[in-house]
Amino acid sequence: MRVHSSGVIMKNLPATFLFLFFSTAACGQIAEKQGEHTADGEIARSEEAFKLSEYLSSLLLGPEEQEIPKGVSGVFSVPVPKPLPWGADFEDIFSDIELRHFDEAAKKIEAVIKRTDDAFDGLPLAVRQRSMAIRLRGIVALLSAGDYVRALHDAETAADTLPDPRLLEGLINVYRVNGENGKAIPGLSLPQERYWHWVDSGRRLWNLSAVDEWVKRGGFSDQDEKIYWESVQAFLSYKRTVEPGNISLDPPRAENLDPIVEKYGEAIAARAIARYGLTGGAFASTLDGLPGRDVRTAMVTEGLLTTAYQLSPFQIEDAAATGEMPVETIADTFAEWRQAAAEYPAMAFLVSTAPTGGDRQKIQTTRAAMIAEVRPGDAVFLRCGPLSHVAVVYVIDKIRGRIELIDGFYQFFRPTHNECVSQYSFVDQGLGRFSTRVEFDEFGAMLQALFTIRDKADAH
Amino acid sequence: MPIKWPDLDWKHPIVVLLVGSSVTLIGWFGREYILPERGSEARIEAQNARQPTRIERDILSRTEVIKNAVQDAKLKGDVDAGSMSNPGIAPNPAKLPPRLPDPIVRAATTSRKQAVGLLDATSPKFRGQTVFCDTVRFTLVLDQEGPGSKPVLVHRIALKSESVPEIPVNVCHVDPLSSRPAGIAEKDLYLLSLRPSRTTARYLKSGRQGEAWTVSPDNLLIGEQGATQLTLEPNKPAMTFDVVITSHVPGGLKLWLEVDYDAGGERIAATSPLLLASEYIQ
Repeated sequence: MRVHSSGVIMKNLPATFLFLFFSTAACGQIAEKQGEHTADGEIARSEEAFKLSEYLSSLLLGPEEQEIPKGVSGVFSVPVPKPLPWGADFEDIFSDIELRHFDEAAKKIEAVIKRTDDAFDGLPLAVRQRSMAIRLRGIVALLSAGDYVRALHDAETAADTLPDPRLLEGLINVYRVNGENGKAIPGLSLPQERYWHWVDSGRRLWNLSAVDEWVKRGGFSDQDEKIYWESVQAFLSYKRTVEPGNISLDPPRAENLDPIVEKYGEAIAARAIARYGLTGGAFASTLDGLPGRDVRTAMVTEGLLTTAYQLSPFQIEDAAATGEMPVETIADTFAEWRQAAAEYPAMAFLVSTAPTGGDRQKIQTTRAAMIAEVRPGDAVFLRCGPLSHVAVVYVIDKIRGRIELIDGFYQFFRPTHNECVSQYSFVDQGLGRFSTRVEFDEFGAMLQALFTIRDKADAH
Repeated sequence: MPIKWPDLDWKHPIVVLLVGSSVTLIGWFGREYILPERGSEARIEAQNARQPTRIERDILSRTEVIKNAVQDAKLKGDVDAGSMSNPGIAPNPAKLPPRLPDPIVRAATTSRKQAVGLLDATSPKFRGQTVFCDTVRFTLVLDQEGPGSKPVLVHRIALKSESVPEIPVNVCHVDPLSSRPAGIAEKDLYLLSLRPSRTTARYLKSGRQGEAWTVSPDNLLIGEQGATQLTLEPNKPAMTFDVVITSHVPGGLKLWLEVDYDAGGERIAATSPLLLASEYIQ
């Protein structure tokens, strides 16, 4: 799979560009500013200050623009909407920063940070905007006063509010290097427990270097947890080749799980994924023509769901501005899934009430059978009259009659707008991410089709 | 000194001018101040006596045809698209409201569209008329018609429906795969939904929190935000509203919108009916 790096970064996190741009620009200014305060023409100290700032920026921001964040971002394909603008909140702030009106920018940033949740179009959007504002506050401190201590502090606060994998990796690097070279970065207090805090956050977002650290550290609560994270580590250990202009990726492959399965046995590996994973692990399907999932395919689905979880805050759109992405039909989107799944390798199936046209990867069934087959990690297409929507299933709680969805466009479930929904709520899933909870019966009434990753049919 | 009339030269041009002007002045004074009413009437009569031009004759004749047609339609009770009476009103001339002067309101639907994809290439038909499936979208147009010169107050827009049992239950097969998921991309429109147990309606201003509210299907102008009236001004562009209606009622329905307005008295306009059937679910 060949991925154009800029496209991947845009797809994953538009903010990284901004952060990178401003902070790189800040390096020269920092050196200049610090040079002014050095006596006796100590050019060496000025250069040292420049190098320190540059070094810290590179640690925090990533070594080069062309670098793809490690982990699952950009590796798994899910039907994600287009990259989204940060909205009206930040248009003026970006403009002020660009024009170097730092005082004005700082005032507007503080106003966003202090705004109550109700003032935003939903809690997930409030968290996202506040996190971005905190991050920008650090950038302004860096640009206006060369205050990299404040910049790092705000980067950490932003990551505590809503971490994204790239920022986490930068923070992990800062702490790791600070410990390894034996020299503390001047003015920075970098306690070791904070390092593990960021590693913990990173591994939950399937950042590979964080997973590596987590597995190396050990200390799991039981054997199943250890097997689960070893499985994730094995699965993510893909090859990467950087070429000018783009990056060639060998995606995670289901076969990567083979050594784990051999080492522990299929049943134990399946149990570990079922206990510590998000998707329920391996299972057999009840629908004719639709395969189930073995541990390998279960891990592929885990990756899909984790990607959806990781990216969901950055898909939140100002619904009034553009809506979702009304460009592709469900049939077109399925064609993309089909192609992406084949690379793992696994097989994408589309289950609906529509005729299949003889396509064995499309399953025609009744609405009731389709509802019964929905699993975590599946993408679902919902419709209520003229309103239509795609989301990824996160948790199914049939006992309480609820379902939770990973969903950047939660506006669809507002009962004021959607007459098929009587109530909805957000469930805090940690790391600044929320799932959207609705009644299962109402979900079922809106379900039109589901995409699901299953074992290759010819493998059974 | 007495004037010696015979001494005047009556043919002298100055004398002729003076005498003529005096006569004209006396005549004008008499029309304007001594017999004013008679003078106005005379002018009006003179105007009325003017023969209409060919274009004016044409307009007058068309207006008369329209007025007659409307009156006939009211008496028959089977008005068609863009009409001015209620298709649900019984054709009882005794109960008809007295004929009122213009203005009148035209209520019509334009841009009727099948709003969700279908498995079949074309929409089903019933007695030659298109049956929309699951969800139909259209624009409601309200405007003044005729030579009225006063504003008209519209105070009620109601959804009306009748079951059409002759339309088969399984006539509609929606294609779930042809949809383009768009979330709440809809703006500034009325969403109406018919279920066996209830009919609901809401107005969507945008997808934002708090920018949608329920309204009464019996009067779209009454909602959580309060009641409102529309004012149709003469010689102004028509008012338009986007409307989407979804049916979850098994079988077919005949739907239309009824518009109550005040134009010197209560009157009703209605859109022409359309046919909507629910999706057939296995």
